[in-house]
Amino acid sequence: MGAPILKVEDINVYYGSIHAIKGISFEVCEGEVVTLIGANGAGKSTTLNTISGLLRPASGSISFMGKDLLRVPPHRIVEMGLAQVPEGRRIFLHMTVKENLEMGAFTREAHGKAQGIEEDLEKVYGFFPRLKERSRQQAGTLSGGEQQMLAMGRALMSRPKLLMMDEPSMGLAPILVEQIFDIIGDMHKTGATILLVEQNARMALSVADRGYVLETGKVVTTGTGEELLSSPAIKKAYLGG
Amino acid sequence: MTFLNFVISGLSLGSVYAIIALGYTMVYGIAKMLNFAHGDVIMVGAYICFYSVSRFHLPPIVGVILAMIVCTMLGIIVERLAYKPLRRAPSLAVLITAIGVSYFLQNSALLLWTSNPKMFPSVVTKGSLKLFSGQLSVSYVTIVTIVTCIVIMICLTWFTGRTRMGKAMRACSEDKGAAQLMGINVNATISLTFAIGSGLAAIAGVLLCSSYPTLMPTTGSMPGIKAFTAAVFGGIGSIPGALLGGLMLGVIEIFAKAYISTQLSDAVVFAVLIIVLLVKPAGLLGIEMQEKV
Ligand SMILES: Nc1ncnc2c1ncn2[C@@H]1O[C@H](COP(=O)(O)OP(=O)(O)OP(=O)(O)O)[C@@H](O)[C@H]1O
Ligand SMILES: [Mg+2]
Repeated sequence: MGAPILKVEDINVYYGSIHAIKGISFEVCEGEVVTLIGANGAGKSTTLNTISGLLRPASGSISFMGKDLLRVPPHRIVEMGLAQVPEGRRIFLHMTVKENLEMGAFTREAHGKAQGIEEDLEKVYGFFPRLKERSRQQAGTLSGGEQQMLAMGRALMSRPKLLMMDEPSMGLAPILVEQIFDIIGDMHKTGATILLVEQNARMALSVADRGYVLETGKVVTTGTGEELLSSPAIKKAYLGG
Repeated sequence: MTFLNFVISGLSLGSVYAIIALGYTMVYGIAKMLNFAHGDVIMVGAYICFYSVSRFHLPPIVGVILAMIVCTMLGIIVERLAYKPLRRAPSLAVLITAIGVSYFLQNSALLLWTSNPKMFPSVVTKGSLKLFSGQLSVSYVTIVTIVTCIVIMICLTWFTGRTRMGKAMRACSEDKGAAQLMGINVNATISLTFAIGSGLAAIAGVLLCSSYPTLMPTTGSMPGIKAFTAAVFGGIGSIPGALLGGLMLGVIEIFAKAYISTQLSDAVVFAVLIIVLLVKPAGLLGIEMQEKV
């Protein structure tokens, strides 16, 4: 396991007067798959959105590859190597599949670093052949599963050093869930670093090196994937007994 | 031949509406707000051109360019000072602010340039083109207006469809949060949209006053409202919709003036709008949003 590339320390996040995140700390090391699990409203998405810069914490610190993320303007965060597959996919429905993928590489085109984009496009099409067949189609015409693939492919196009995924299995048929997790497993093997948020705790913990359990804005338990899977309390609360 | 003449002047007036409507529609698409001050930017552009040409004797093209520069900056400043602080405010607050900005611009113009109408010198000095051995006469202003509109449409279609910033603009129009997750600078993209819309408004102002030469601080309001109507007519948020809506509105207006009544022409225009919206609530080319779960 490498050095920590993401370090979240004691962050507090508010929506107006709602205190959504109450002093969460965790870290992700290079090459690790770390999962955040927890019930609805525990604060998982809020945590990811704070790391991505969509929300600002009232206090605490977030550092990515040794840099203080809170000093970086939000639109520069992707450039540093942090990408998110947001909850509910949020692909651009009125743009084509290919344009969506190009938007993923938006920051790479900025500095004359456009080379490699074509190869990465092929790589994403390799992961998701369906997207290649549909590359000229409007993204809004894709099925839910295909849209999820597009959201993942789009995030990969920025060549992230850390990929954050918010419930990639949401609303998908079991077979597609398997497929998504297989891909996460494959990416793990090639050394990718992933922060995975999931409702599907069993699946998430079985691919993860470590996990953190969130409850109403706090980390209540942490451990390796196996430890959490076998913990009676976790079994009872999140794995359906 | 009078019929053909009406069609041509309708298309010319419609081209001006279309150019203004583009600004409305692009700003609506990205900021989800109706920039009611847009019409007054037209008036500012026309005044800048008027003073450059009539008072400082600069060539018309320089007047147009100066008008575009001033309006572009005006658009960016208005967005920055008046609308950006309200990005998360209820839309009614934004609407009222936009109406306020509109009056602010009109009153400033009143102070700076008085309410005395100015005779705007046409930027197209050549007379008219005679066709069919003189039976049909088309003024060069009309031709320039229509051609300008076509060129602008082609450029904008290319810009939004092909360029990196244009695509970023479309991405921001759909989902600002997701666009930011792509590393797009959303604030800069919104500024750019206001800049483009206001630059186009300057061109529209010059073309409008070249055909209808009375320039006053209120010159922009009626065409502004008509162009807004055109944008809704074509489907607000849609660039081809703005073109179609603008052209149709222009033609309907000229025909209503010619065949029905000069006084009633605006009523006819709005009656057609209401009928279209009853049949197609999203406008002619508007997109009804559908989302998958
Ligand atoms: N935009 C918002 N405005 C106000 N409160 C919000 C907003 N978004 C989230 N919250 C609140 O913050 C808390 C954490 O929400 P969050 O979306 O982070 O939960 P989550 O763990 O991702 O849940 P889920 O599994 O349902 O996606 C919840 O109580 C939620 O009601
Ligand atoms: Mg969530």
